[in-house]
Amino acid sequence: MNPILKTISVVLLASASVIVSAAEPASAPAADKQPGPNPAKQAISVRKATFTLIGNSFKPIADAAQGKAEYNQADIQKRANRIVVLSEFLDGAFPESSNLGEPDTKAKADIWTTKTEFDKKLKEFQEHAATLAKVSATEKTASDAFKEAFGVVAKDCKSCHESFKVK
Amino acid sequence: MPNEKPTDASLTKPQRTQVKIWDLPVRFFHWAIVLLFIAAYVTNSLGPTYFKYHLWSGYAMILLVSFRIVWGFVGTHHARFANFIKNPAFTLKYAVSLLKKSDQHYLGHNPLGAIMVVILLVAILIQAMTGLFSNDEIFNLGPLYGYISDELSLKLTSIHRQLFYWISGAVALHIAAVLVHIIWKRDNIIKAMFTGKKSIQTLTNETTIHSSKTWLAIIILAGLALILAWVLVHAPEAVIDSGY
Repeated sequence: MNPILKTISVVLLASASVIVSAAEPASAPAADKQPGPNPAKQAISVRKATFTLIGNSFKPIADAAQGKAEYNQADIQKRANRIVVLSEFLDGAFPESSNLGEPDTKAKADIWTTKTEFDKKLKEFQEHAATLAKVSATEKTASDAFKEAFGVVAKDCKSCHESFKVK
Repeated sequence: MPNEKPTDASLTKPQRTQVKIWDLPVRFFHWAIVLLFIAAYVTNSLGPTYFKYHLWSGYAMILLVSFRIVWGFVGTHHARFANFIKNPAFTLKYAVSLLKKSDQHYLGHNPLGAIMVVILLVAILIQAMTGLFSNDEIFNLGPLYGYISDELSLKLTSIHRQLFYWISGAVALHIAAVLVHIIWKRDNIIKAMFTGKKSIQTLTNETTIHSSKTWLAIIILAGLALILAWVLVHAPEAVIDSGY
């Protein structure tokens, strides 16, 4: 074949294969590409929102427990009860389809490969949050019981993040 | 400086004299950093409620590492970077000479040890600095968090988390290298880093030190502490509680 034609066709073939392979990343899950509501992405935004609100609710409790703010029982109780409710939202927020990895989510794949461990930690968090709410209903000051209940929940946050959230 | 007359070698064992190499500030710095590194790790592992102590370990390390860097310019002879950091070509030649067992003996840091000194100082400083801006996404915030966006804070926190493993690797390598040195060269450098002294047989023209200049070290450390305190006190408020 004419050398010029040969070069052009090689370049065209190479470009075509690069474009095709770039457009079809091997690891893209099907759910991402389909039109319409995306349950995976929805689960991700629900849990992100939930964790943001849990964090906002927890901060004033932490301040009171560490003496950085006054212990206002009504306020602390309100926040603790919110955390209990919010923690319930997490139950359905980790479907298998939402294992999309970064940058969509900071949830590690370990959540699904060691689901029993993850579920156990989530349950512990929910239980300890309930304890904190109960304790804040009876404690009128930043007592040892309150600080202990708070500390347990704080450790739950960290423990789960250590195992299941990307560093 | 030892100044005894040489004795008749056929009648007595060769004289060994103790010479002082490491000043007190360098020795104190070294072992304080060891303890603080462990403390930082432990206080982080204890959980979010012990974060205050993790911060304090970090502050202490910023101060001490900054001090050591300054000391590397104004300290005693063997503490000065100019006296033990060599260029890459020289260092490579030294590494080769080690294998050939024809290496020059160094009283202070040898050229390979110099690399580890620089790596650890820089890495620990970066680690502590990123910590100042980090947040644990639970309720603890670094003192300078208020200067930056949450997004940037998370990036710096990520560096802070991952750099720990690299530093640990360097520390492991450091310990291994020290042990190899002690066994292979019969030069107890761990003891020397405590006492500051090495015992030498033949007088060399390498410098030994007379005074630790500890007074100067204290002044430098106090100055750095004031700077750090000023920076921390003037940091903007980090979080506004909107009620939600």
